[in-house]
Amino acid sequence: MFVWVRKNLTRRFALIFFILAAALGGVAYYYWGLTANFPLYYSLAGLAGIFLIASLLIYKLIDSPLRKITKQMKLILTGKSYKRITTNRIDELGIVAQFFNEITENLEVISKKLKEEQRMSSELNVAAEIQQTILPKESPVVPGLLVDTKTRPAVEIGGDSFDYIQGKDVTYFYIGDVTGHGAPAALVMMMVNTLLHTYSEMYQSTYDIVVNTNKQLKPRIKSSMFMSMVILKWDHKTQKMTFVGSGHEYILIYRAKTGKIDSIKCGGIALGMTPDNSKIVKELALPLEIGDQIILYTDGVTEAQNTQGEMFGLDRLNELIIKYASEYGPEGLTHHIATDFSQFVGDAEQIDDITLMALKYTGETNTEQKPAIKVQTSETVAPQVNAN
Amino acid sequence: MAQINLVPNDPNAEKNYQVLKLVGEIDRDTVANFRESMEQFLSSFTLPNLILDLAELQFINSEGIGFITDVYNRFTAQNKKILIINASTQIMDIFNLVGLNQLITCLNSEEEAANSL
Repeated sequence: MFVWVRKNLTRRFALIFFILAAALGGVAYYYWGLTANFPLYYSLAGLAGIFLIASLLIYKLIDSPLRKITKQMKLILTGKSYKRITTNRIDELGIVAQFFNEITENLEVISKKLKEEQRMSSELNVAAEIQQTILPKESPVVPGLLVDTKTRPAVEIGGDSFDYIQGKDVTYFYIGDVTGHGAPAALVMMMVNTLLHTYSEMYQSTYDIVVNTNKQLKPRIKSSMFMSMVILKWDHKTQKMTFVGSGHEYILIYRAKTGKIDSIKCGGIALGMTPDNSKIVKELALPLEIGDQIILYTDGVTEAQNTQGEMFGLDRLNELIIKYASEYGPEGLTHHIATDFSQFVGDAEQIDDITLMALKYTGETNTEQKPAIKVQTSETVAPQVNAN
Repeated sequence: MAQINLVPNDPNAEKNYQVLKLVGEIDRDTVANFRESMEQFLSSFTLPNLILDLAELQFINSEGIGFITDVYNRFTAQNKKILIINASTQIMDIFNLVGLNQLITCLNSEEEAANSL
């Protein structure tokens, strides 16, 4: 009975009003009896008393608790700090207070999550910026060689990187892929880029550059991270190519004479896997004839899947190289492969970075006109195609 | 969706090793799960030798390889040994490319692995 009354404002109001009115009536009865004919001003005073009681009840039962609630609501609406509403009431106003507490609690959880997500996405932006900074903006002018690279980062920042490093009478070209995604991967590629640039000024041999880069990298990165890489060195004077592999994908060479592809195992071990790679990596020659093209890629290319779950694969890449390499130089070759690649994957989500680098041995030492090739970051940009 | 399960065999008391089977695929979706179950297994692993049986592993991505390298590094620091057996040609190709087989010995059977200990 008591709970039944407490649950509803009207019942509560009625009960209290009834008790007070009965008390008042009781007092009146006691003094004047049933038939008493008391003066008019007594009745007016009685009526005023009833009004007063009703107002007090409304204030106590409705107005005051409602104000408590609206005060906190106003604080929320003006973005100030608010408190939980403590109440033991179980009527309509109690429910409103409970609802307020419940909602604000959820609000806090949601806003915390939102803040965390904002922080993470800004972290990803940092990673994207790092990745963009170290990518070369233009292809270099190299005696006897043309080069072009296309790269497209995944939505989530992956770990692909490449660069051209100009030394004295030599140019280094590398392509690499760091495990994982996001800021950690971006930092690793940044470190490797810095180390390679630094050591290429100190050492003559690519072997020394790679061994020292690994030695400095290993203690600075998480034990579960590594970067696969292949670095080529082109000697301007002798027009000879050498390479050091660090656990990367195959080096593909399109032979102009036969129209076939040589797949050369990159070999070695990925950077950061072992503290000392000096016994594992080797500098090897990559004999080329005029017209040959070298194609380097990351596994984002070969492992990309279309909407049917079919992998792009190395065979398809080889076919496309054979299809286009006789007709196009590095710029056209990478452009056409990238276009066909996009057609293959269609609307499937790109989950990994993709990078494709092509180099062509032209033998033309006097490269006067600068091949102003922009690094393409999306397939929508169509570069000029020139048949060499 | 891909799955990865760890199936430990009974430890071989005589040779002090235990074979752990990796069944399924280690890809973007399962790598976190793989890392977690592996850590759980390793937390109670006290033997000096661990043999990873990859006969039923269909795929491993570079993060998976990174984690195995991490385990290898931890084992080496404690003078423990880790071996890989029964990896499929596809998996061996991946190990070959990255150079993991230069770090961890990959063999064709449990017997071979046991004999090499």
